[in-house]
Amino acid sequence: MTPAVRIAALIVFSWALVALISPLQTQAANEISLEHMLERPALGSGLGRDDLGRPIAARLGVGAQVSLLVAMVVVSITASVGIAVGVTAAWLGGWVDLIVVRIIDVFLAFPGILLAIALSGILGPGLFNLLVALSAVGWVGFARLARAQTLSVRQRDHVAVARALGVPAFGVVVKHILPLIAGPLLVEATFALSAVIVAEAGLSFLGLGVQPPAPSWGAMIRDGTRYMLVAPHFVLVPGLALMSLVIAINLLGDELRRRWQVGGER
Amino acid sequence: MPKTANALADWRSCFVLLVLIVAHSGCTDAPADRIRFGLPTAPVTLDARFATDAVSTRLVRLLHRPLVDFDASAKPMADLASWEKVSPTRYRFTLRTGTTFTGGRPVTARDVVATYRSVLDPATGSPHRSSLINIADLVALDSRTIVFTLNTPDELFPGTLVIGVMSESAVASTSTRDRWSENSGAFERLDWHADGRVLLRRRDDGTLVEFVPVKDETVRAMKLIDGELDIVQGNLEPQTWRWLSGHNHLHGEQVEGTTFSYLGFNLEDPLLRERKVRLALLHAIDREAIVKHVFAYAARPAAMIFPAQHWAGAEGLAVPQYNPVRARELLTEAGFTGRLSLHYKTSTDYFRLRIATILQSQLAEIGVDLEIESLDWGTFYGDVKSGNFQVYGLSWVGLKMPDIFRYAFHSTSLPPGGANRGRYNSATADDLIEAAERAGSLTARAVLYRTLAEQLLYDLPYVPLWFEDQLVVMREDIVNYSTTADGHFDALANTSRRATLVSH
Repeated sequence: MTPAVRIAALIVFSWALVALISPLQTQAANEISLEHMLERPALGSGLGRDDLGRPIAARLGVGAQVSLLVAMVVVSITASVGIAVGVTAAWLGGWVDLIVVRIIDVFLAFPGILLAIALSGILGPGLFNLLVALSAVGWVGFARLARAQTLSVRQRDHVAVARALGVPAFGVVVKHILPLIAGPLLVEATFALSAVIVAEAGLSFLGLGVQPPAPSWGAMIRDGTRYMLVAPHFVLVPGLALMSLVIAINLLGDELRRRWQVGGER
Repeated sequence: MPKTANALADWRSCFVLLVLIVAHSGCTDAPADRIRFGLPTAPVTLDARFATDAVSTRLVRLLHRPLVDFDASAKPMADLASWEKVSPTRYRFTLRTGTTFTGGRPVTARDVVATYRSVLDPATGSPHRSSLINIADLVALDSRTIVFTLNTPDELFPGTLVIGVMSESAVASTSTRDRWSENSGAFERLDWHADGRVLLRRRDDGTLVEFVPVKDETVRAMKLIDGELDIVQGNLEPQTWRWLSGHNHLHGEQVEGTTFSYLGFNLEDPLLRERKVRLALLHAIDREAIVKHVFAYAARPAAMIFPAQHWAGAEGLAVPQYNPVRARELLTEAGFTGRLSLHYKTSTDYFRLRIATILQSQLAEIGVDLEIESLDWGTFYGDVKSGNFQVYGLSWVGLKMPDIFRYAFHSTSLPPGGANRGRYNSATADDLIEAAERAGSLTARAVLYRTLAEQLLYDLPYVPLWFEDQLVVMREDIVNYSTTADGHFDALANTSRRATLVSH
C-alpha cells in the first residue's frame, strides 16, 4: 500500500468518524450568532463562521453525514438494482437482453447529472427526492458492468457443471457468478460513491438537495461564493472538504482496481 | 520535424500564451472614453409611460424630465413646470423656458398633453394610468401652459405628475427609432444592446455613460476592482460594500434610503387576529442586532412606512423594543402556552432568505416555530396580493405620496383594487385617513398622519422592520457622483472622470 493510499484511507476514515459523531453537533451547526458573522478561521475558534455566524466546522460535520449517507444509500440502491438487471439480462439473453441493452444505451446517451437535475426539478427539493433522482440515474453503470462480467463468466466450466447438476438459476448466479464478478463491481461502487457525493453537492448547490437550515457541502459552497471576496474561508473550507473526500475515495478505488487487477495486465 | 522538436515548439507557444495572459491581466487601460455603470439587472423599458421597475425608472429619469419632482422631504417641487391651483379641481402648469429635446426643439405644452393623454388612454396599457385616474381633462392653452381638470379635489395632485415628458411625435410613432430620437432629459439615448447594455450621451458635454448589467454581485465587484466598471450601485450586500469601500482605487458612499421593509400579517388568521400575538412577534425580533450585524449599519430601524424626514413622517414614535421575556408573557396572556407554528412566505432572493432564517431563529426563542417557504417572485407576490399567506416579508420601494395610507390600510382597499393584503379593518384608522385627505394644508395632514402612525403601531397590521440605505462604490477617479435616498442616478448629469492612467 503506497503512502498516498494510506493517507486516502485515513481521510475517508476521518470523514466517516466525523459523520458518525455529527448528530451531537446538529444543534450547534444551526445556532445563529450574528455577532460572529463571517468570522475568519483562527486558533481556538475553529474553521470560522458563515454569514449567519454559524460554526463552519460543525456544519461541515453535519454536511459530511448528509454526503456520506446519501452516497451509501444511493450506491446501495443503484448497485442492487443495476446488478440484478445486468445479471438477469446476461443470464436470460435473447430479447430480454436486447431490451435491457437498449434501455441502458438510452440512459447513457443522456448526461446523468442533467437527468438528475431534471428529476429533482420535477419532484421538488428535499433529501428523499434527491435520493430518488440520484438512484434513478445511477443503476445504469452497475447494470452494464454486471451484464458484461456475467457474459464473460457464464460459459465457464464450473457454471456449466452446476447447471448440469440441476442447481437452480438463482443458486448458480448467487453462488457461482456473483463471487466472480464482485471485484469489478466493488471497484465500480467506490467510484460511484465519489460520483454520488459530487452529484449531491451539485444538486444542493442548485438548491435541489437538502433544504436550509440543514447544512450540506454543496449548499455551503453556494452560499460561500457570495462572500468569496469578503470571507474566502466560507467557500474554501467546504470546497476543500469535498475535494479531499472525493479524491481519497477515488484513490482507494484505484487501489482496489490494482489489487483485483481489473482492467489491468494480469 | 522530429517529435521532440514538435513538443518543444508546443511548449514554447504555451509559455508565450501564458505570459501574454498574465501580462494582460496585470494592467488594465482606463476606459477613458466613457463611464461604465454596473447594474444588477437590465432595464425592462426606456419608455417613460411603461417604466415601473427600479432600473428602468432610474434610466428613464435621465432621458425624460418630469413636470414635477420631490424635494428632500418628499414635497412636490417644480421640475419642467411650475404650477398654481386655479380652483380645487383645476391646476395650471407653466413650462420653464429653455428646456429642449435632443435636436434643440423646445419642450411644449402639446408634448405634455400628448404624453399624459397617451398614459390615460386605456389602449396604451400604461401601468401609471391608475395613479392619474383623477384627471378629467387636460388642455394646452398655449405653447407653455397646460390646464389639468380633476374629477375630485386633490391637494397633492401635482405630486402625481412625475412621468417623464416625451415628444408628441415619439408618443404618436410606432417606430422604435422615432420613439427614442427625442429626449428631454440630461441624456440622450445612443444604443440599447440585446444583452441589456444601454449607452447614453450627456447632452451638455457629450460624455458617454454605459450601463452594464451584471447579475452576480461578486462578478460586479471584481469588474469594478479590475476597472471594467467605474460605478456599482444596487443589490450590494453591506459586507461586500464595506469590503469594496476599503479597497485601493475605490471609494464607497452610503445614503440613507427610504425602502421600507416590514412583516405583513393575515389578520383573518385565528392566531394573528390576536393583537398580543403580533406584539409578541415585534418584541421577539432584535431589529437593532440585525441592523448592526447583517446590514453593517446600512439600514435604520423603522417605526412607520415613511422615514422621519418625510413631511408625512413621524419622528420619535415609540416602537416596542426587543424584549423576548415580555414577548413570552404576551403569548401566555393571549392564551398560548405551548409552541406556536407560523408559516412565513418570502422570495427566493438570498438576502431575504437569510433575513428569514434569522427571524426564524429569534422567534424560536419565544416558542414560535417559523416555517419558511421561499417562492419565485411571481408566485410569492401573487400569493401576497391574493391574501394567501399567514406571515410574509416584503418592502415598499420609492414611496413618496401619503396616498399609500389609503392604498395599504383603509378597510375598503382590499385586493385587487388596493393593497390592504392583511385585511386590516379599523374604523379609527379609516377615519384618520379620510380626515387627512380632507385637510386643507400639508401641516394639518402631517399631524393626522402622525396620529395614524401611532394607531398603526398599536394595531400592528405590519411589524415595521427597517429602512435600507442606498450603497454605491466607485473608482477613485470618478468625481461628482452621489446617489439619492431613492437610489436615482440623477447625479450622472455632473459626474466626470479625473484624467489618470490606471495600472496595477
